[in-house]
Order: sequence, then structure tokens, then C-alpha cells
Amino acid sequence: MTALAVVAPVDIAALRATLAAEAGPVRFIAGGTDMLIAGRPLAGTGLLVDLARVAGMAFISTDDADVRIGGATTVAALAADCGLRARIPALCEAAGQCGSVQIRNRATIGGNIANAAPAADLMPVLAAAGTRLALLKNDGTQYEAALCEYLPDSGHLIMEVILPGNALLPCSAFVKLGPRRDLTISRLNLAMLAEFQNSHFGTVRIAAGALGPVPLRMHLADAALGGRKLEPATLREFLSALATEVDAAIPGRNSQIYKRRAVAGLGLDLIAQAVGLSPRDRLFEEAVE
Amino acid sequence: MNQISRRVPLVDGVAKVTGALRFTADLDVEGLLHCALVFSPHPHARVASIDAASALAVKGVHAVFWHENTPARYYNSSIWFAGQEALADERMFAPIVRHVGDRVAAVVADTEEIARLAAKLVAVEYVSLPAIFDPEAALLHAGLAMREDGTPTFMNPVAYESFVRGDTEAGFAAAELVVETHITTPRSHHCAVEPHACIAKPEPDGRIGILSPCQSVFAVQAVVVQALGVPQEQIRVTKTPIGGSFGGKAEPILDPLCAFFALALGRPVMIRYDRHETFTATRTRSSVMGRMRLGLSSDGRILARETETLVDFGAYCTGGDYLPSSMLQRLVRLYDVPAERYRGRAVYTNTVPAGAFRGYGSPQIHTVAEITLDIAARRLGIDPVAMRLRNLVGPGAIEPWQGLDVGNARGRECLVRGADAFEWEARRQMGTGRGRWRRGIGVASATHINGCYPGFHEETTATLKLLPDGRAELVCALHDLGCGADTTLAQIAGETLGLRACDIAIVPADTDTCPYDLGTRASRMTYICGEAIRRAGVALAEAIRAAAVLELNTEAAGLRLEAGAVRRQDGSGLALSDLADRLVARGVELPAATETYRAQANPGSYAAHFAEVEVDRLTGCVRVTDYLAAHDVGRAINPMLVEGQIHGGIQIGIGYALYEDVALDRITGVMRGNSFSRYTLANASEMPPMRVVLIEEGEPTGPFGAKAVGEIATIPVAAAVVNAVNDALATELTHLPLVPERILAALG
Amino acid sequence: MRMSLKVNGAAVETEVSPISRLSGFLRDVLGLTGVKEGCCEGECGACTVLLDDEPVNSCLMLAFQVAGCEIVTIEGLCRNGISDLQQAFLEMGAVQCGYCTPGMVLAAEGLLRANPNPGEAEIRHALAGNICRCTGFETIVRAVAAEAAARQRAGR
Repeated sequence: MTALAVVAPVDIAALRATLAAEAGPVRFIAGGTDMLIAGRPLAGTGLLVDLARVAGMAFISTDDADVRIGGATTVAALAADCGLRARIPALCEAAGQCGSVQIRNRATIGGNIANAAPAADLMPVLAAAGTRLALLKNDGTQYEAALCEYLPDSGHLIMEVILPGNALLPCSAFVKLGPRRDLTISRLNLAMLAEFQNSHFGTVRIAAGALGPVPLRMHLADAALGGRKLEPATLREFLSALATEVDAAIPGRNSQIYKRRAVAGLGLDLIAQAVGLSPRDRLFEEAVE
Repeated sequence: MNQISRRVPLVDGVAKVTGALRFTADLDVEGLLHCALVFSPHPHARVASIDAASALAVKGVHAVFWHENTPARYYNSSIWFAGQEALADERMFAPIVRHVGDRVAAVVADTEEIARLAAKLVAVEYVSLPAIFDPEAALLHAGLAMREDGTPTFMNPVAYESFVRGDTEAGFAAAELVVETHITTPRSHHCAVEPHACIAKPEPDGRIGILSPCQSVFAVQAVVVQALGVPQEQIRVTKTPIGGSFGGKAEPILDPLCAFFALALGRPVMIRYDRHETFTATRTRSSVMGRMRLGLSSDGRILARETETLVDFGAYCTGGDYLPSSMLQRLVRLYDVPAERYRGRAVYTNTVPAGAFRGYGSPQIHTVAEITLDIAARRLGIDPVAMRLRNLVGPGAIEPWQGLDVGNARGRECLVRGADAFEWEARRQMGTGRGRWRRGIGVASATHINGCYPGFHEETTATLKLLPDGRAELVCALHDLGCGADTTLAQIAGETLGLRACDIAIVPADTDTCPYDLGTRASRMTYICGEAIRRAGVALAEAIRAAAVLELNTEAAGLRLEAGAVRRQDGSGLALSDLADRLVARGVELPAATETYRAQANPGSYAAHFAEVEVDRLTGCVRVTDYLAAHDVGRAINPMLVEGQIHGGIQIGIGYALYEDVALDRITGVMRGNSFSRYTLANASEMPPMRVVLIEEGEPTGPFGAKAVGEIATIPVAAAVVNAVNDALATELTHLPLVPERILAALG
Repeated sequence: MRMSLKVNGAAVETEVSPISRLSGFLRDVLGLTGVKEGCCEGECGACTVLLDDEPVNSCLMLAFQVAGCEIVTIEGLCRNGISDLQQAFLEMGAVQCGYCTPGMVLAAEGLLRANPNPGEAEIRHALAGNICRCTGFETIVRAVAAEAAARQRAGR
């Protein structure tokens, strides 16, 4: 039995060289905030590659058409980035509600994707944004794949997270529902990207987390809002669509009865955040009267 | 007054804020071995075979222990003195495991890492046995709890308590309204941030020294002696700093094992549980199913009350057989109820054992009673504060069960001044609102005891001695659980001696050096130990004055102790350190005084809590938005620490109302709330602003008028919060915790 | 493997096991037992240390990951006597049992370094990853707010 070897490449070239040279199994660690949780088995052999300080793997680029984020970018960096907030505030919002300060300082966007937790808070935003990933194979080849095509078990390393410019919309929002407000695992979370002008929605894309192993795109909910005026009747149709989506996602589950109802409150919070209204605005009260 | 009513910082506070204070797991012990346990995955099973060969083959493993090579002696982990009668049903390792998480085996090794690795290699074969998780079903497993030979049967009920006073049928017949409720309280966990730990080490003289973060060194000694069958003198226990307990460390769980391993191997051994083990293999609060029937007159007078409680204490009795009576004890000292009927039973189930937890039955019974009272008030259309005022006992009331005087009981002042400060009336007028979010306010009253009188040998002995540097040493087997008892008691001592709290050197609780004490339990530290220390202080002051008479060539009558000196009336005098120097120089022993104080009373502490909540009718989420606690503490020796106790009690109580539950699966018996990510407790963002109103009317039997606050702080909280939710939603929710599912279900 | 780093202002060069957690390394190898262990899942915050000025859970990092970095534990915060923040905790009753205190103080210190003028809600949010079971957080929040105000006044 050969013991675990660890290596912390200084830059991407060194990282590629490390991977190319390694014949055995390779695992990656970045923040460690998922991998090192008590009770989870830690590999005792092979090579463990630390990504946390690979130069060039942590960056947020928002000046070009596509938003590009390095795989080792911390959740704290996402939450605090002004450029990102201008392009897709929902991602900053989700990052800011992810874990605690201590977790956010270490957890990375690549880790959030690769660990594939159903309740991962960044995931619904990324799903609604049509995210693509730049992935690196151990043999050094790099390729792009859609987020929904990415297989965490492939072992391919997430180098970059790409939010295509043509899929970003001017408004966005992220909301979550957990047992408490802060440092809480989502029982349900929702993300939305939308066009909204003169009280009317244009294109709308909504995704939900914690309703299945991967984020759920909610096409019925998109359709209930798309092209419609923001008014109580629209909201009622939207809430009904959300409940239908929940029923379809988790039929017969213990949590179905609760989540199909609670999604209404979360759905209204989502729209309020996206269009810049208070959830206590009369409009929303009227929708559920 | 010099020290009383002062916001003195913790006497051990600097060591705490600098991280210098060493908790048990921080201690550096030469040659220390480490331990990892194997726990049962089954709720009830016979251990058919254990094969330790693979574990023993691991380099660094010293031994594997299980039921065949450890003492087969039954013990009860809740006893606190040798020979105390208690249902002995627990063993270090038993051939039959009784809950998921029950102890099966232990590996002792050079490092914790090796021990944990080897523990996974212990091969255990189980034969499953039928398991019971439901306390009502458990009643059907009926029989005597103990065989004639003293071995346990695990049959139910283990405890039965009943009480009748007056004519309840007549009371109900005369009642304008009769309310019946069925209320359930959850299994909650202490969640002290320090996980359980213990060290035992062989001493050169053949004894075993135990270093334990405990609530009573004598209780640890008694339990270890019972479990190992060794003479009491062979076990020495020293208390280590404790990273929170709340009752969770009241019972020695690791200590018997640790002591036996150290004895068997001749090496020091540490056991420390991780968080998962601390959840699944220590203790929880017992759950209670309560049924209450309340008959009231049209103006809100309670005419008759019937209460039935069923306590689920899990796999081992521990102190669970006391719960039906301790709940009764607390129930009957709050309101003046002319006709009362009570029946309480306690049962085994195949779940993690319950044990002591802040309030010991009081939070459960007050939750039952105060929610019921509120439902009655709403149905009668009476202000819940007014209704409580109509029924509360007052100073000098005699409670009907044990006939104890409740002392200077100021529950009314708590309600009146608390309601005023909370602006209860104005908030009631505001109503609940109409939309998605509803606002509600709730109130609950509570009482609690001060010590164990008349039930146990409620006395303690304190020795205060002048030190050569002019400070004083205090020996009194004190167990500060982190709430600042040492500081409070040092203030009391300091007050009597003209010293500051930080001038009192407290000797750590140790079975070798301290006289017997019951330990930190039953809200007895300030009231009982405080009075013993006050008396010892008064006696030492007298002795110091007598010694100073010679030195100052004056009369004792005019001498007073202040600011570390003994002074004449004109202010001239002698620093205590100088006095000590002179006495030492003359070969005279430094003054000391020992006082034994035996309690003569058990007055009530009282409280009224007020909560405001906001409930989201769409998600079922509850947010406590404002909180006020009014407490009758007699006198606050240290208002800052009193407030701290209340703040912490509110945190535990809010969790009890809204989300804290270890969530035992009804089919498998597996604990779902077994980590901090799965067991929700209120963090900083979740806590409301809290205000405290202290009622300081003085308790004549307490030191400087003080009474207890530690346990009562958490007792009324859950009921106040639940009552606020029921106010907000016009519901009658009675099953705790009020998780969002339950809220939405109640809204239909 | 060998590793060098800076701990509490001093350069450290030491051998470290590749699978050793940072918390275990700090406690067992360097003897910094002010680093507490409470849950090993990033929920209680008792193991909080500052990594290049930022609070992190030392239980959820491997020690080798901090090679070349600067770590501050509670022992490092009071190198020149007890700090004002610690004094505020002490005087305002923000300490009870003391087990969560080192991590809580470091999380608060990390907040004040990043945001010198936090509001109450920001303080609570920043401390959400630190569990205290004794104080209900009330006096902790007050102590951090008081220290923030004191630093503002002193222009620190």
C-alpha cells in the first residue's frame, strides 16, 4: 500500500505537468469544505492535488461577452465581486448565502459543482444561466461541456465556469429556504434570470435546487411568466406552475406536501428580488389572498 | 456593598478569552493512550459474537474490550453518592444492546487515529431482537422493572407517581370552560460545544485518577465504584474545565470505561467522543406526552386540573424514574389550583437514553401546562397575562404536594413588570396583521426549585482560609459549568471578607481535597453553596478580626474588613497580607473557617417570558422577532452573569419550540438529527433582541437574598414562543417542535 | 513532508503528514490548544483560525495546504497582552464556558479586519458559523459592536 501523496502546483503549467506525469489515481482538493467533513472517507492512497493556490485558477472575468470564472475561485470572492454583481447578481446572492464566512473563504465554485450536492446553492443559478464548463482531462486535453452534461465521477477537472453572454439576462435572483436563515442547508432553493421592463417579463429562466440530484429547470414556471405583465393573475399562474413542477419532481416523497406549498412563498420572494420590490409589496399579498 | 450586585467579569475569564484554559482534550499527559468505541447499529440485538483479532493485529493497538472481558456489573450513571438507591440497568458493555449507538466494544491504541481505524475492524455478529420506539406501545411491555435478584427486566412502567388534592370532579362540574390538550415535547440535545471527554490515569499508589469535565466529582466516583466494583478510596476524581454541560455531562458516561481501561492496562487512557458520538451515544432530554384537562370559571380562575404525563427516557433508566415526580413538584408551585389530579409514568424505549438537561422535567411540564393555559385563555377571551395573574401563587404560599413554603415568590411582579416593559397591552391591540406574514405575541410563566431539599442530603461544607498574600482560599467542591458560578461565589466570599472576587482562590473540585457536595444540579449553586460560603466568610471575617485585635492592639468590635485590609473605625489598619506576614512570623496558623450549611427550605424562583413572533403562512417559517424575560432572582449577585444565564436559556428554549429534535426514526430507531448540520439550533442570525427585567425582592433564606436562575431561564421559553405562534395564526398547535411542516399542516 | 509557514508571527518549519488536518496539526504538533474541535463539519466554528487574515475552519483544511501562508490562532492574538477585542468579550459577559470563545473571537477579528464598521445584522451574519450554547449571542454581538466603535473612534 503506497501512502497518499500530495502536491500543490504553483500554476497551471505545473498542474498539467503533474497530471501528465501521474499514472495512478488522482484526486483534487480545493477548499476542502465538503471533502473533509467528518465521516466522509478520505482516500489513503494515490495523488491528492491541491488546487487552492494554483495561480491562474482563481479569477472572475466579466469584461467580455461571456463571464468566465476560474474553477478555484472562492465563494467569498464571488459574493464580493462588483463586476459579477453587475452581470448576474443572483450568483453573488447565492454565494453570499452559501455556508458561513469560514466556508465561503475556502469553498470554491468548482468544488460546489464537482461535489454535486443536491442542495448546492450555486447550482440553480448556474443551471438557469446555461453554464458551460472548461474541463481538463488528466492527459492534458481540455474541452468544453454544458453544465448538465458534466459527470462529477469523470474526474475531469473544472478549470473554468463560463456563463455565456447571450444567455445572461438583465434581472436575476436567488432565494433559499432552510431550517434557519443563515448557515443553513437549502431544503429548497430557486434561481431566476429574466428580462423585465415596463412591468412586463420577457424571457424568463428558472431553476430549482434540492428537488433532485441535479438542478431542475422549471419550464412551466418560465412559461407562466414569460411575456406576461407582473400582476396578481400572472403570479397566481406562476405559483400554480411551481407547485406542478414540485409535484412532478418528487412525487410521493415525504417532503412533497410541504415543498409544493412552501415553494409559493419562495417563488414570490424570488420575483420580488428579481424586480427589486419588497416581498411585502401589496402586489404579492394580492396574489395569495 | 463591595462585591454584590456588581458586573464582575469571570474570575477565570482571561484564560478563556486567550485560549490558555486547557480543557480535557487539551491536556498533555505523558504516555496517554487513546480509545475508540464500537457502537451498535441495531436498536435492540443480542451480541452473538465478537472477533477482535483483526483489530488487535493493527500496530499500535493495545487492547480490545467488550462484554466478555469487562466487569459484568450493573450500574446507574445518575447516582450522586455511594449506595444511592437507583435502578441499576447499565453496563460498560452488555451482551444485549438496547439502542442504536449503544456501546459494543472499545479499542485502546497509541493514537486516536489508530484506535478509530482498528475499531472498524472489530467484527460483531448481532441477532436482532424486537424493538420498541413508541412510549405508549412501551406501556404494553408491562411488568416489574427489576427481578428479585436485582437485575433489570427493562419492563414498564419504571416509575409511577400520582397525586390527588381536592375534588376535581366537582371542580370540572362547576367550570364554565373545560379545555383538554394533548401536548408532546421532543428529544432535544444539550449541544455543549465541547464534545464529551475523559482521562483516567493510574497513580503510583495503585489508585486511578480521573480527570473529568463533570458536574460532581463525587457522582463520578460513586458511579465508577459501582461499575468497577473497586473500593471508593481507589478512585480519585478531579474536575477539569468544562466546555458547556447543561446536564449533558452530569452523568459519567465515559468515566467508568476510561477508569477500567487505565486500571487494566496500567497506562493513562483518554476517551473523547466526536460530535456524532456525542449526539448518538450520550444523553438527550426525555420526551414527554402530556394530557391536560383544565376547568376554569368564566373569569379565568382555575377550578380543577388533571394532568397525565408519559416520559420516554430511552434505553436506560439513568435518573428517568425521578421525572414524573419532579415534574409534579414544579407543576404545583406555580398556580393556586384548588382541585388537582396528577398521574405520571416513565418508560423504557429502544432509543438513546435520556438524562439530566437544564430544568430536569420543568421545561416539559411547563410547556404542557402553559400552552394549555393559553389555549384556555383564548377560548375564554381573557388576556393571558390577566389570567395568569388571577391564578399565580404569592409569597409564603405552601405548595400542596410536599408542603414546602415557596418563599418570597414574585411571579406576579415578573408578569406585571414584564408585560409593562414589553408593552404587552399595546402589542395586543395591534393585532396579527392580515397578509402572508402574521405577527403574534405569547407569554408563559414558570417556576423552579432551589436545591434538593427536602429530597436529599441537601447540605454542603465550605472552608475559607486566609492566604499569606492576603487573599483567601475557598474549598467547596465547586463545579462551575461555564456559567460563572465560581465568579458569583467568589463575589459572595469577597463581600464577607472585604476582598474582590479575583482575590478568592478556588480549589478545583477534587474527591481527595474537598468535602462531599451534591454537585451542580437542581439550581443549587448560588442558593445552597452560596449560603455555605457566605457563612464561612462571616466566620473567617470574625477569625481575622480576632487575630487582628492582638496585632492592632484594639477591640474586635470596631474592626471591619474592607479593600483587602482590616481597619479600625478611623480608617487606620493593616493590609491582610501584612497581617498574614505577622501571624506567620509569630508561628501562628492563618485564620480559617469551615461552615456546613444544611438547607431548611426550597423556595421557588419565578419568571415570566414574553415573545413576539412573525410567521410566514406560505413557508411555515417562524421568526422570533422580540423577546423579554422577567425573572424573580431574589437578588442578582452578578447581574451580568444572571443576564447571561437568561440569554443562553432563551437560545435553548427557542430551539426547543421551533426546531431542536434529534428526530429518532419511528421505524428504524436511527437518529436523524445527529450532527450540527442536521440538528438545527439558533445561531447568531436567528436570535431576537433580548431584554431582561430582574425582580430583586430578596429571598430571606438565600445568600444576600439570592435565588437560582440557571435552569429557570430556559423553562418558560418554548411555551411563550408556541403561544405567540398560536396567537399569530389562531391555531392550537401543541406538538413541538413547530417545524414548518407542522405550521402549514395546521393552516389546512 | 516538510513545510514552512508563519504561525502567530513566527516562522515555522516542520514535518507534516499529508492527511493531517490543519486543526490537528496546530493542536498536536504545535501545541496550540486554543484551537478547539467541536464538530469537524464546519458548523460550530470552534476551530476557526485566521488564514492570511481571513477566518477559516481549520478542521476542514489539510495542513499541507497552508504551506507558505500566515496563520493566526487565539494564542497569536494576545501576543502583546490581551487584545481590546478579548477585553470587550470579558467585560461584556460574552464569555461563559469559554470553549467557543477562541473561534468566536477570531471570527470577530476577521470581520473587523474586513469590515471596520459593521452593523448589528452584519455582525450576526459574520458569526453565523460559530455556535455558542451559553450566551444566546447577545453579549457577543454587543462586544463586537463595542470594539468596532472603539476602533472607529481610535482610527485603528
